[in-house]
Amino acid sequence: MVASHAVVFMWELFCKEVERGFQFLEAEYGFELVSAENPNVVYESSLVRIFVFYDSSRGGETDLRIRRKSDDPFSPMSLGIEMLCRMESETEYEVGRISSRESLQNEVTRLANALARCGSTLLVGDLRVFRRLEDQEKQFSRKYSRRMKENL
Amino acid sequence: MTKLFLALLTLFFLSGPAMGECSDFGRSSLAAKTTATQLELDFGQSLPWQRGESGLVIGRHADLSTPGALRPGEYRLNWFDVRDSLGDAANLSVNQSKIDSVLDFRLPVRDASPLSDVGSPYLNLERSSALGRQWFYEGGQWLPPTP
Repeated sequence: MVASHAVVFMWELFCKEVERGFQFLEAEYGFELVSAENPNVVYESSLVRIFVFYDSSRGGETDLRIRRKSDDPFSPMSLGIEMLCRMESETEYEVGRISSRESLQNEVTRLANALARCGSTLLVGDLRVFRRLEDQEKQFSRKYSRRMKENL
Repeated sequence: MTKLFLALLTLFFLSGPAMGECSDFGRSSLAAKTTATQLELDFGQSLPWQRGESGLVIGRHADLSTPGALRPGEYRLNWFDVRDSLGDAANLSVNQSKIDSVLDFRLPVRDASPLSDVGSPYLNLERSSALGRQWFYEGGQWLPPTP
């Protein structure tokens, strides 16, 4: 499928904005920008990968997901920015959509600020938040398991 | 002397590899055959329908879009996005009919996002559809109830 000029243009703008907005990852936390292939700009440290996501072809959705490098790529252990903010600073974050050039700049800045605010512990290599995520998953998994549902 | 030379030459050609066989001297043709067989078997066993699965993977849009998120033969729901033209409710209706048509087959569906991630109305709708049909969650998959 050939992407339209507008889609390519917005994606390129997004990459530039991410590079500017997420510079603190490289400067302060030693992350490296490893790839920028539509729809993800990927940063990496020795422990985690950060995916800054923007789908310009489908609703202009943005998101930010963090995965441990040691996890199986097919495991559901991916920490979204909304969950990170809820778990680390008890604040609500709602991922937005990009509809124009102006909103693109705003959304990227909002994402970068949220990560800087809620992810400072994780970014220095403290991955305890993933342990908490695993505990939550066990609880949910039990709730929806066959045995639990049969006992209801 | 000429006869001896011709006999040796004939023997050399007869003992060499036939057309289509491995002609790489110094490498065992047996090793080459073994490698080819293993690749073929691995590919055959990795496809979802051979494991009795639907092949559908649900999850957050960003999780499904990370490189290598889908195994060979797996797929995600896709449709023409109508959010901008008809609104969120219409887009959710399309999503509902798409997930229903897969769940009707009663084959396992993989979930690529944490269950505690409830921030997407689309993923919530897909999980609710499975739960509404009394499906279970086990080992990262939604499974139909046993009849």
